[in-house]
Amino acid sequence: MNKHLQDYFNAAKQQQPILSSSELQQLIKQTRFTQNKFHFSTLWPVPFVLMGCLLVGLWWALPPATITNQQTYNKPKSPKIHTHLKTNPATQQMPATNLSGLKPTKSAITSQRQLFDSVSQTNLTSINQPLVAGEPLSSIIYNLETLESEAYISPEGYLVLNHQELADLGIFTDGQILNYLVQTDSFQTIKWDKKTTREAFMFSINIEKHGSTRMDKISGDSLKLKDTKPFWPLAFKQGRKNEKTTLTIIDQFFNKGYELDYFNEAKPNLIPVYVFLKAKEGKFSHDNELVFWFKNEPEFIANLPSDAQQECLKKFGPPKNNAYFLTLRNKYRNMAVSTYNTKGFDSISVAIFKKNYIKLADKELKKLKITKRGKTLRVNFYDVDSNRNKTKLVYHKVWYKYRNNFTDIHYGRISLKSKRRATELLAISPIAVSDYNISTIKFLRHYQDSIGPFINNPSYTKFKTLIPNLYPIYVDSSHIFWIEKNQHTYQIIQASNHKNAGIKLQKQYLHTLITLTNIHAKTVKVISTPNSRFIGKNEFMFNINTLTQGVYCFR
Amino acid sequence: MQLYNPVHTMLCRFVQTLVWDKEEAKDVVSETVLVTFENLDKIRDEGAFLSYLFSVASNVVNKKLRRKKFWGLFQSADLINKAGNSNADDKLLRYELNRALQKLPQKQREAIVYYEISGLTMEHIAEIQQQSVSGVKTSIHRARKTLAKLLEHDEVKNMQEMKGVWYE
Repeated sequence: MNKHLQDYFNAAKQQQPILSSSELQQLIKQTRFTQNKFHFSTLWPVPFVLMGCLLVGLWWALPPATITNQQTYNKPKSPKIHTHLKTNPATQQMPATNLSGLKPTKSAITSQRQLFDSVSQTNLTSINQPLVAGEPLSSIIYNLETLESEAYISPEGYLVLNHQELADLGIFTDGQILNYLVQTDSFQTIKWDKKTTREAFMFSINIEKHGSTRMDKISGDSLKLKDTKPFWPLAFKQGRKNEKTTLTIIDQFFNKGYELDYFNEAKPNLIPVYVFLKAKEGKFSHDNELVFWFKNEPEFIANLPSDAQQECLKKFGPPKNNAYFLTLRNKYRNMAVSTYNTKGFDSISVAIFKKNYIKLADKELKKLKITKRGKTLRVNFYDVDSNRNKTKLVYHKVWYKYRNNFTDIHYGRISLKSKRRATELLAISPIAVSDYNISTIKFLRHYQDSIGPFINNPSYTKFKTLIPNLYPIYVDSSHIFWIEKNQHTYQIIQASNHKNAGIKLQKQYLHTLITLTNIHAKTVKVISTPNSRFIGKNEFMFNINTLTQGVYCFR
Repeated sequence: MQLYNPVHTMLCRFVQTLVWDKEEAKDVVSETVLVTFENLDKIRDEGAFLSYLFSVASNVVNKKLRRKKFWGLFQSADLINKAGNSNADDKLLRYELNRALQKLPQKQREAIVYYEISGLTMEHIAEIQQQSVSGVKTSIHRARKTLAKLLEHDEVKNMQEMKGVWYE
């Protein structure tokens, strides 16, 4: 057996017993060990229990007549209340929407509004069969007849459609299941084993019992896949409501890599489409509210009913052509090169990063408690808590990226009570670590104990203000750590004899490149400020504090 | 208790290696001992006491692990903290060992812990697991091999969502 494994076993053998023998003895003395002899007289509760089960079963199987009547299809219309928000009054969590202020449109949807027939069956998977022809209407939550007299735009400004109309947009739902498949306008060129392929990014949302979403990637050179719509939403938001909490899940962007800025700028030209999934036993345990933001473009408008088109025109203005959205997208496009290799950063990005970050030799990294072992990266950092008496070891282990999948960061924390240990520890800790997708930063501590994408983390703003006080330590093409500046860190960095330490650069400019924020070089004007300078051909360095003011970096 | 005292340390090591949480480990040990003493009259002789005790321990541990897996309570940040007082580096090693052990099949996991950590003999293990001595040897050998691979190469697990960088 190898020594390495033996070390683990030895560590396990050295642990002290969790309970002492005397404690167990005490426990045994306190416990009465009785033996119940079986006798039929002990079974006296059984008939009562059986009777109770029988009564409950009968009550369940034969509900009172009053409840059944409420579920019939022919209940009177209540045109003022929005169908999508209509729930059982007893359990309704949100107020019913009052549409009295809106003039109901003339219904162009007569009995011709067919629910199922025109929906393409090829888009449906076996688990999602909500639109099977012939399904009795009474099983559907939404009362289609009441929708005829209602406006398309809700007071919140959402476009509200029925099942058929949603299906025409590619969203298939029966009120409890939602299936949506969209191909975004993002593509990536992947180089793998000397082969270059171009892959389209598909986003599929399948919301069933657990309300989870799923993202799929589908390979292929064709820009449009069969049965997908020629338009797609820019973003998607899901909110869950149950008795205890109201939770809004993160906004997801179908064009990955485009940040919130892109969405905010495009939002005035987007149409939010609202879908409501009602809680139902066996399906969801909570209501789901979803909003899809579609681009207000001719292709999308053309797939709406004529009345809805008029409403959208009034509310959202005329549709924009594709060139507008293309320009907007190009503005925020990621500036990295068009090839993507398996090492994480592409070669040009690495070259840029190396100039902006401090690169230390392995020995110096070890002094910062960053060690590389085989394919893993291990980070041990020490922290002093607010009491200044206790110290905590933050153990952080990072697996390398495995093929095209991102690594998992394993994070742990141990309390050390010994004061002797406190004096041995260094007060250096990382604030955050970035992965190769530089716009995502994962926080190790201080601002968030669990790992999460920074773009949705309110601590990002706080983090940005700290950048001048951090050293960016370049570890490898996939990991950069931002470490708090203090005397000890500076001593380690200064002592480094490594050529690319970049200390002079750090001291002079005290800034670092946080994000390559989706800027396309050719379309962006560079604003020169006193805090920026050329560091090479067509390259700028800039102060992070001025980033929001419009200083861009291009190559 | 005269019967139990000599095996107390072995039992605690077994439980603490497989059940990381301090409080849960205490529960497991207590429950094991109580169940064993409750059924003391069913144990035919002193030789069978050890195998009976560890069989009960194994069942209780597995019940805990199954329940924990279902409810998803395994959170590394909390668990390391609950490991109890000991040397920090050892704690880390034990923690890694614990995680690696979770990946082994149940028989291999128990066999290796019985043998390497609790210090039971192959014959005892064979009696506990109701298999032959050669079967135990095979389990231990395979477990060692898998553990060495897991602990040395640090396999990637729990792949998170793909964070691609989108270019054109």
